Amino acid sequence: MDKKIKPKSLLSPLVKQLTSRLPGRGLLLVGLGIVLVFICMAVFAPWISSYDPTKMVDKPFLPPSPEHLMGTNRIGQDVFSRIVWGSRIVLYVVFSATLLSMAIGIPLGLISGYRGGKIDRVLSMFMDSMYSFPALILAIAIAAVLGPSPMNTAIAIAFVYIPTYFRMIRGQTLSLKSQLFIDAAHALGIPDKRIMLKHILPNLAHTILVVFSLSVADAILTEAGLSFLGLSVTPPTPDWGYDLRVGQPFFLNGQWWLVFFPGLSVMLLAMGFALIGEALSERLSLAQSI
Amino acid sequence: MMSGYLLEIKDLVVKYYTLSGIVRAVDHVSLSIRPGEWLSVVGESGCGKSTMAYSIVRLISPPGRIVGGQILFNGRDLLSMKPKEFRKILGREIGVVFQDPMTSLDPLRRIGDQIAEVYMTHLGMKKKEALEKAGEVLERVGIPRDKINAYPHQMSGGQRQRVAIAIAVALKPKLLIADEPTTALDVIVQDTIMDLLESFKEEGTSILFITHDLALAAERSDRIAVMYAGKLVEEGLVEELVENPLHPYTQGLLRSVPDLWGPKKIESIPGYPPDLRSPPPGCRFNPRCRIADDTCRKQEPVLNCIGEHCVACHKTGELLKR
Amino acid sequence: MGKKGLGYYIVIRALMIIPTILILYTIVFILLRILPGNPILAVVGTRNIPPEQLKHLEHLAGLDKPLIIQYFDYLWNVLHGNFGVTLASPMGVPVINYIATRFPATLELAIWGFSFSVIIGLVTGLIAALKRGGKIDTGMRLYSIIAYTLFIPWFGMILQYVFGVVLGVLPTGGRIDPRINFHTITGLYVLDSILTGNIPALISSIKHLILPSLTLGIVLSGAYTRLVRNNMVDVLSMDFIRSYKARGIPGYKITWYALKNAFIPVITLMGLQFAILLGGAILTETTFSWPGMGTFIVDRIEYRDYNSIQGAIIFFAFFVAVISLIVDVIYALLDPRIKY
Repeated sequence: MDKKIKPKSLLSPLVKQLTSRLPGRGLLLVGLGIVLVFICMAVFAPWISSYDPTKMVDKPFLPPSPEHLMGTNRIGQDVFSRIVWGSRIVLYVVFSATLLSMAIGIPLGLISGYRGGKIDRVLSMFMDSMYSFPALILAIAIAAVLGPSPMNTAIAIAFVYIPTYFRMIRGQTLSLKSQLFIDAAHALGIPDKRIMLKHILPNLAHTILVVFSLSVADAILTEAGLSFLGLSVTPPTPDWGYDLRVGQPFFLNGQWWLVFFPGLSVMLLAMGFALIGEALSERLSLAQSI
Repeated sequence: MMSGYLLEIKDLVVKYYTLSGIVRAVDHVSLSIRPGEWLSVVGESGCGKSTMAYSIVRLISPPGRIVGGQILFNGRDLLSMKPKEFRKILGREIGVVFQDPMTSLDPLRRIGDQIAEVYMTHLGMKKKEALEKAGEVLERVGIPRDKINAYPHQMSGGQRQRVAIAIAVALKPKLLIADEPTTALDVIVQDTIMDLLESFKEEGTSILFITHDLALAAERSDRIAVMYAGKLVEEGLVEELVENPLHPYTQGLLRSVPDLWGPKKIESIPGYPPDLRSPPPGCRFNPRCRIADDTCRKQEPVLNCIGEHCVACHKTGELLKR
Repeated sequence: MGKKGLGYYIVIRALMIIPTILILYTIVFILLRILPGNPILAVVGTRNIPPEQLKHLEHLAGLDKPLIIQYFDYLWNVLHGNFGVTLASPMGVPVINYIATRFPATLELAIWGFSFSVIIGLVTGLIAALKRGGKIDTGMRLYSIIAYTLFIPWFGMILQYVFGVVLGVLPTGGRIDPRINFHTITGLYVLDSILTGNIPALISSIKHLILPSLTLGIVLSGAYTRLVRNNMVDVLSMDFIRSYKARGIPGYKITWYALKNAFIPVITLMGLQFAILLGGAILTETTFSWPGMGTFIVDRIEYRDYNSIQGAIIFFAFFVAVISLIVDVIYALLDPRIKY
């Protein structure tokens, strides 16, 4: 893989991934497929769901039927509609959180890795401490203090994943920094900021994609966890984790549909992103070894 | 030609099936070693010498595969043996020493245990006895017996290589395969290792010595075989080969060795070794050969022998005149 | 390589975790004290309460002192085992009391869960590594992804339903049958029942542990499968493995030696991932009504009892730091190349 002094576009690695014939493409496509299904679900929610998810539309505890594909819950809300509209909340929270994490973690990682010195040492110590602490507990603390709302949940989750991006970007920056083409850029008199933005960052694009997918998968589970503990949304907003909590007592009595579908959705959506991340990461290491 | 040979490699073909093409790493190579003989196989990186050596001991792993040929050890074909039977030979009658002493020993186990294990596995010895023997063979390779409890990382590169040799010769094998055993060591240590190997030759062990260093090979070998691009191009007794090299490649190699004792112009061989996924037609050396002609570019040369000296070149006749 | 050297090594390593603990403490402190809202008002709601009572409550919570003083005060207290007192329902109980009873519960669950995940991870990772490139390898990696994307409460509930309701062989909640007469010493019920020779307690506590630890263990094993597999594959491609083969050593022994070499980085990474374990433990506890620190924190959140929450989280921070210290020491003991 030869590295040119010319800056590369950020999008080309993504396109290359979809078209190159390396193994793992199957998993990648399955993952993408799942994710796209859920994104469509979220975007086209009003057209897909027949009922208002926040209103009582029928008798409670109705099992799945043609009128209610996934039955009704404790208050008589249509479970299917709650799943479909819930995807909006989940995707909104998770994407906001991840973008926020990236906006803070990536630049910090770049600067820290590139500049080194005191900034690097202080930041690394800080980030490593956070990284070693259980994500969920930290998120719980923040969410508990801020109060339940999708925005606050997003902030809590964002906070927790900053170290992940920081470490990954810093590590890659360090290894790139020692390569010859950076020295060449230096020798040509190109200013640091430009080097970071135009030369190092594009080479990190693939890594960023991998970390993005995997951390989104993780964030989905964290959001569901917070929601399950009652720290994410307030009723009657539909959220999968919360529905799981509400439905728990009835699950063991046989009304399985209250719990089964929300939990399954969490798992499938997380799995979709995880498959993408894993497939990409495998192809990344393969590409580097050829 | 049949009896009397310890190891006979007949028409060996090894291919690597990679994503970018099929690499013909060893292309119909035949070699033999007699008991107590030191044969060096010389060639550039990628010429197939290591692959050939590893084929003998079944260390070729996917995507590489031994596709054809026979390897006879004391008359028995190693390639068609059942794994269980083969494992009795490996380590016991054939020993292997690898290139990098820093990574070829298990870092988590004491060297004494690693040596003793060979006795315990093949001879069924008890640990105490095996450790005794381990101490003996350690001294034999020039390492004080009290180092038996040391870990590899506590020893230098040269010492580790001696340990590797000790493990390889512990059961007094008939054949010792050494793949560039001194390349990772400095010149002084290199010499002591070569001395050690020679001492085993004198006790009757055959040595198959793989190297890219023709001068080093010429120091101690009885015979030398030169490989290029997966093929055997010249073979013969060391004195004959060095005095009268017949193949242009061998001549080029000899010309590129610096001479301490007199002024000599060093010449390198122009060009690069070919891509073994699609080697040039005819003689594989022809793009880099000074005297290549049309026949060379169309037909692959066969190995012709004059006594012990064999060469694969269309131009042998002309070269013999020189 | 002596015993005295080991002592020094531990001390130096211990000193190195101090900055980590301080940073975590600072983060938690800032989060819970400086963020918007007066915790006391949050507890009592926004009713009008007499200023004297408000002041009294603030004093109880130590909120009337300047922030910096609070910072060091609390730190000093914590180092002496004083994690403050509860702010609500019941009020004024030393938090440490709760930690003392709740923490062993979480610890026991964590240990069992961790053990399951390690065993499953080792087995699946090993199989994947040995059969790498093939269908079994892909299958194991698929298992790994499915496992770690399982939503713990959901998976736990399914197990509860299958084993607790349908098959009726295992209990669905709690740590032990409340009808059994039982004395605790360490707080780890299995250990305690063995120590007191109480067989019914032993059986009951094990029965109660199985489902929650399996839930936690299976979900965690997902990450470990990948870890073990990748490390094993790396080790198997190392030169000394080739040397072993050339010595005629049988395959199963070579696998064992490779595993030992791969095990060291794996176990340290697993130990460091203990943090994830604790996160999962909280969800597991809530699902199985397990009386541990997780359910404690969740309960206290409902009461807005910030003192308890803060105390519990700070305690976790110490615990995580201590675990990383233990992992470091174990690593030094296992790898002969580390000098101490």
